[in-house]
Amino acid sequence: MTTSTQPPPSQAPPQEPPQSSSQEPPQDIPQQKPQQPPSEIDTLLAHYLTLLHEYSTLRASLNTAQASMYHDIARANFCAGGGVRYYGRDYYDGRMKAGRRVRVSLEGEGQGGKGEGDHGVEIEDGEGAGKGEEKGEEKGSVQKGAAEAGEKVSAEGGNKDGEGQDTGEETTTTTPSQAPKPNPPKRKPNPLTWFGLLTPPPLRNAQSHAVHAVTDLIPRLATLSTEMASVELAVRRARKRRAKALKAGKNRVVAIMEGTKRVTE
Amino acid sequence: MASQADFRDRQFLAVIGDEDSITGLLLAGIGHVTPPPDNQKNFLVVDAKTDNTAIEAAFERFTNERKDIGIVLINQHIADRIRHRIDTYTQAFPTVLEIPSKDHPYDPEKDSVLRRVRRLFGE
Repeated sequence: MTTSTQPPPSQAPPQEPPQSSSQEPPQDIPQQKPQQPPSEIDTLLAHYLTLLHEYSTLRASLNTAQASMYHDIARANFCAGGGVRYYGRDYYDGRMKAGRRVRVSLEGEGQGGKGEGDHGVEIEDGEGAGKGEEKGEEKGSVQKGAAEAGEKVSAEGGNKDGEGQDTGEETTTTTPSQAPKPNPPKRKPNPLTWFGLLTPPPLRNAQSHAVHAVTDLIPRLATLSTEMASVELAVRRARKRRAKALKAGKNRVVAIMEGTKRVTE
Repeated sequence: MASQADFRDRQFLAVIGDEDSITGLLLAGIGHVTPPPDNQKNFLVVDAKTDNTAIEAAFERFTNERKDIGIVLINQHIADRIRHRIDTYTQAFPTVLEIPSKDHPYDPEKDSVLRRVRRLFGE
């Protein structure tokens, strides 16, 4: 098998010259020259187009999320009950506190490669809203249980320590009271509760779509917007520099031409 | 150049939109009312009766007067009513984003970011 596939040694030499000749004739010497490195403007524009692509993609996702949200709110309004006529401003809490907040960070700090205008925008969950709130409540209950257990454990531990030590009962009785009490978890109301305790499932779905838009899409869109603005500024500056350089080059050529004319005269 | 501390203070989203947009976004937990006596809300519900001056005043308040707003969301059809203000707004923060509404789908032709793109490429 192997011998049949391998070409005989006598046929190999005649085959080689045509291969080499087929590679040589085109003489791609001018094409093989290394291409000029992309200019600063080209690099910036390529980066800008990448950002634009991401912006467009996120925009489409935001449109989808918001369309789903509006659809679910409409469905919730359609099946509104329990004294609620319309899920709207009449039921907003006048003392509401933000459960999700913006965190702005300068991404260029210490990296050197980033410009001044590069900011990162994120949404951080506060004490909880929506799903986070439910999780927070669950966490809170877990923490509460753990805290109770911890108090018990510490009390027991205190007693054990007291037993182990010879200092007496006074220390054992004071240690539980001196132990730092865990702060009770802050419970911020879920905005869904503005509309009653038993809210329809479509409203919960609307909330989940809104949470997705607010936590995942909007902060990235805001970051992209500022980043694109900074790249636009850099492109305009680079174009100005190039125009100045071209103008200076033209002036130099004209001066040289005039100098040569004078010499010839 | 603004310092890092100035950006850290910008911790709220503000919304100018119709009732359904505001309701949905408030459900996400972004609504905030400052303590009394100010009681400033970070949203404005716009309906058919709302004047352009009220929208413009809210935009001015969210972008220039208040220093705790990081992102301003505005329905695109409402942004059209104060388009001159949106187009001349050039600050990095708060960032202004146009979002679609229930009755008015998103139109890329009107988006301020995509307008900037067209301007950059000389169209």
